[in-house]
Amino acid sequence: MTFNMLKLECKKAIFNKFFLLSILIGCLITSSSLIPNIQSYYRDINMAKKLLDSGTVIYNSYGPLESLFNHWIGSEAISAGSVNFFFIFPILIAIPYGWSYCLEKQKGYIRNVVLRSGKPRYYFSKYVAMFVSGGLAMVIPLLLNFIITAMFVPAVYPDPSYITGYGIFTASILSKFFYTNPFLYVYLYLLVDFVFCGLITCLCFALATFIKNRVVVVLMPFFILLAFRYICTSFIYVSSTTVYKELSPMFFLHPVPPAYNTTWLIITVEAIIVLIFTFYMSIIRGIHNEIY
Amino acid sequence: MKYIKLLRFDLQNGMIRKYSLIIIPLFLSMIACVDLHNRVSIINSQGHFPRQFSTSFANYLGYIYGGMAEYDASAHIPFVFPVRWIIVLFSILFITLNYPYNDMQSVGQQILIRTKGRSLWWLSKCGWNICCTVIFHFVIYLSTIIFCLLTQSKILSSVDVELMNAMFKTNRATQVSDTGILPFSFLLLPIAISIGINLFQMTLSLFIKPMFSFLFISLFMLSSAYFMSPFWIGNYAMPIRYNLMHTNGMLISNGIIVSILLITASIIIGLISFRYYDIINRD
Repeated sequence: MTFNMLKLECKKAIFNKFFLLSILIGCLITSSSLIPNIQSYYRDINMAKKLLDSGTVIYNSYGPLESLFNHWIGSEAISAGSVNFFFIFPILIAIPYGWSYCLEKQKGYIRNVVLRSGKPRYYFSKYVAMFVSGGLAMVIPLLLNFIITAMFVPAVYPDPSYITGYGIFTASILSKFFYTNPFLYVYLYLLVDFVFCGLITCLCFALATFIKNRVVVVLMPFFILLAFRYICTSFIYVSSTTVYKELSPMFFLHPVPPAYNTTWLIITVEAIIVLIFTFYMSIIRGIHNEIY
Repeated sequence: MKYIKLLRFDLQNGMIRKYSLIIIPLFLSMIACVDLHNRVSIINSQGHFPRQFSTSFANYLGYIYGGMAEYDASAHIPFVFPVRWIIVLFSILFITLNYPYNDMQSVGQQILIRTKGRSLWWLSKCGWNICCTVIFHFVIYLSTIIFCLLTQSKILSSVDVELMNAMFKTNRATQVSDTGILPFSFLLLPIAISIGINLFQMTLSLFIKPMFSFLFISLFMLSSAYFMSPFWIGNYAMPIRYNLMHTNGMLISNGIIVSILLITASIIIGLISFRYYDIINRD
């Protein structure tokens, strides 16, 4: 019964027009980073080829920098596509299914479902479905960008000698994997993004327990993250000479840190806080809430 | 007379009961003021500059609305979005996003029938939108004045260009002058642009769902921070990129024209398209 409910909710979360629209917008934004990155790769390769042909240089010393691992969207925070995607993602992940609980409560659908399946099953399935839809909405455009970039740019293993060219330093999380097994690095970072974005989407569920408006519920996680970043910038990152740790998910979910490096402790603590808050507000409180 | 009644109704329902219109700008400006106050104290204690900086009303406003220095992607430095500028402009976009749409789904339909026309309803929403934006920015101004009074900072003063250049880390090569003062009146243009963008978002909500219109405007504004070009209108809402502070900066006169055009175009396009808008079963 729980499995059926879960299957139904996941189906509703993934096979809906908003999910497709969100993926489409995400892919459009990421593709605007794809084109300049591929162009820059061919420009650099052609330049190196000309220099090699003319005999000016014996070998292309910048070869390791022309790699898939610093040309896909997650490896740079410079192109407009990358900047836009990692800024707008809290909205993109909430669009597919963040509004569903609000709508179902409003339309009375929840009463019919709860009558047949019971509250715990419904709330748990809804939570999981939101988590999955949010995580997928974040990861699919990134993964697609990675795959398409791989069609044009070779997966040359990163060379630690060119560390400044990659932007992944010793203090960066998973940096060891980046230089030893970069594919694993990408997949692990996508997993971090999936989990965290899933949890951020569940914020919509938690907020929907006391906010009636769907648009507000969908946009609220974006504003919570923006406000958190604003507070961090105003009260924590005050000195320009100190190297801080990145606290804002809007920045640390980017595989290449645009400002500061983060730590596993920060990611774990923040994920646990969001998990406890969303789980308590949506499932535990939801079960005790009056739906009639 | 009908218009006044409609506007009064909108202001009563969509503005007076909206506490967020007061609380959010109050918090935003207080945080920014405390932030600048701390940063100026740090800079003064470090002694990296030949003179001591002082905070003032105009400097606080310059800090809140400043935006960000021109971004040069060719330098290969990661782009960090101007969170203060974004949160100020986006908050009012968010506050004014939903009321017209919700009103149309509820009592608005009754009003539309009773007023026997759609133009007045739309114009009243435009009036409400402008009032909300002005009140939002007025609260920022007012709370900044209160902060100045509390910290004994100067109120009748001008913008300190050197302080702004230091705070926004502007490129020395593009600075108009290192030292000097500017009247704070030029800080009014971001408000005009904010009104224009809010109206544009409301008009856009007639064609696409409100959350998508917000998404579109968000991308547009972030792109304005990324690309320094007169075509990205958000640049006119960033005083740090005006020609008074940047050698190839935005012309304030153009900004005024653009904001007037944006406001007028949004109202007229909305007015025309609302005549043919299906108000029933939009959900």
